[in-house]
Amino acid sequence: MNKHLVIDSAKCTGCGLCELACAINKTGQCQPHLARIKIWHEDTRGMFIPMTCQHCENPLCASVCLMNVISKDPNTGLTIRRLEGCIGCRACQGACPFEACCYDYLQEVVVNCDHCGGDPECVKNCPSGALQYKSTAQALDMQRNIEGARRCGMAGLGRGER
Amino acid sequence: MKNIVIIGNGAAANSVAETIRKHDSQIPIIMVAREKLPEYSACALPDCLSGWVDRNQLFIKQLSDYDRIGIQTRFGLEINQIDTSKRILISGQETIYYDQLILATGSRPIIPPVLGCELPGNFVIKTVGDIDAILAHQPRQVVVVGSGNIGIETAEALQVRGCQVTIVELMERIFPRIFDEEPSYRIRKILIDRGIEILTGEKVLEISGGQRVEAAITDKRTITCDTVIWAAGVKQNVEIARSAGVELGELGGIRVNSRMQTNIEGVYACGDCIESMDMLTGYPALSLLWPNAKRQGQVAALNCLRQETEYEGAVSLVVEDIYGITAVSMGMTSGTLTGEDIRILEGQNNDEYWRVLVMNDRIMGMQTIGMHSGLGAVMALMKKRTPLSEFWQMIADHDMVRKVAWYLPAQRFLSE
Repeated sequence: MNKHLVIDSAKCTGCGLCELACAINKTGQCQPHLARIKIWHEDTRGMFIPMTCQHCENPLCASVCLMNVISKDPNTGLTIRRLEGCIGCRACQGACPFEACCYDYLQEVVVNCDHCGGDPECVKNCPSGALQYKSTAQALDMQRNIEGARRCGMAGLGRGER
Repeated sequence: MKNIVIIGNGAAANSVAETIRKHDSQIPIIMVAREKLPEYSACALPDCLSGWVDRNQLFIKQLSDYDRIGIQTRFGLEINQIDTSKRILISGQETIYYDQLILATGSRPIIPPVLGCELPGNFVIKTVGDIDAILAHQPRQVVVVGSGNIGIETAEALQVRGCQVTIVELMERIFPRIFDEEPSYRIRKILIDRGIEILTGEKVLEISGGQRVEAAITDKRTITCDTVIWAAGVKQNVEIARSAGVELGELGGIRVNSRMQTNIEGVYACGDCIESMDMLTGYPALSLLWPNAKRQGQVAALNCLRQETEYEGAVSLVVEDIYGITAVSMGMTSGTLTGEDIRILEGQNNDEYWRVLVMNDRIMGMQTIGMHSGLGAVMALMKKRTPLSEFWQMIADHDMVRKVAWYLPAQRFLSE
């Protein structure tokens, strides 16, 4: 996989535009709970955590799938689903630690993020820069900068941060 | 060239074949199975019975798919004997030579030897053929014996089809091995509200009838019915392995080590027919669930190809759809942990209910009804054996919690 959806939750303001953009793009419905990306609200601490499919190397969802519809795409490294085989048993929802398997009640199947074929709508609509679509090298570079800044006690001052 | 022979065509056997093909495109693979059908999902059979899933949709592979990925098939062949010294499989029609053998013979449903269990109208749920036979029988009044996941799903499916369904369970509650008392009673209430009759603590003594099933006689009453479905558990298919000298464990499955090797060199076993160990306790356990079979298949395949891989152990995850309400059980239940010092964290919110079992600061199991979110996080914490004290320490740290953001949904289940 050469491109990643990088989430920097410290920058998220919880506006919900990514959820809306995703739902509209994927289902045509203006309903955030149909989105493949979700923002978790940790109200007591004012934390907003955008969360979506992490495209694990050995996905737990694939191991529990009763119909073997979930697999890894050998070319892109994404976790993909053969939706016509899905019976909506929701076992994958129970196994995914990231809550990234979303039940799409319009199609009565469980779906996950597919990076919109290489041009994610959520990233295009994110106003705060919390979601970015980067190559592996860029993503690692960014992680290193953020972590380095944090260890030097300069959290929030690292390159690329507001 | 060396070849690999797989006996079976279920989840484990196909997982073996696919994993070998992924790592080695040359080595010849032969699959031998009794049924003539391509791989299908046995877990979805009750859904097919209710009409929710099409019969065609059950099939995960087509017969042509085996040829396409280079697997030779011998379907419809019954193996009579394995000669491990000459490395051959003997059947009525042909003799197959192997260098490495993988046993994935699976399990079969138990029908207790009661009077009348041979009459037409007695069925089990194990294969597509069973579903076809039940539908051809056109059941009206059904007795389901046993209330594990197969029993309850079948009862629900037939009730949806318009049958009058009675569940007879020997133990004091339904789902005796999967749920604790409280969630079990909640599920019982949902089923009774929909019109399924549930008789617990009763034993079926006899099936009466002249030409076909007419009634089921228990120790307390006589239930008029035209169909009896036996869902009282399964038994491992180990006869052929045992006669070949493969060692069995004390629970009745084939004994394997963590690399899925049996006591005989070059013979591996995986799936329902083996006795593996429990991931959480380390004790020997029979794991009759789809995800475990698939993982065991992968481990057996990799070790067969000399890529040493260890099996982590079996962990159960059962997801039941009870009339649209999702009931989930993962890990151990209080019943399997009797005698241990366990702490129960439970809570409810309208129709939602959850219960987490904690032993020595570690999560050992969880059961929920009507919930969809947060389960995966608890499952991952359980498998990682994260102590609860460490969990709360991470949650309290503002910087750390962003790195392990997936901990957050588990909070509501784990708070006192």
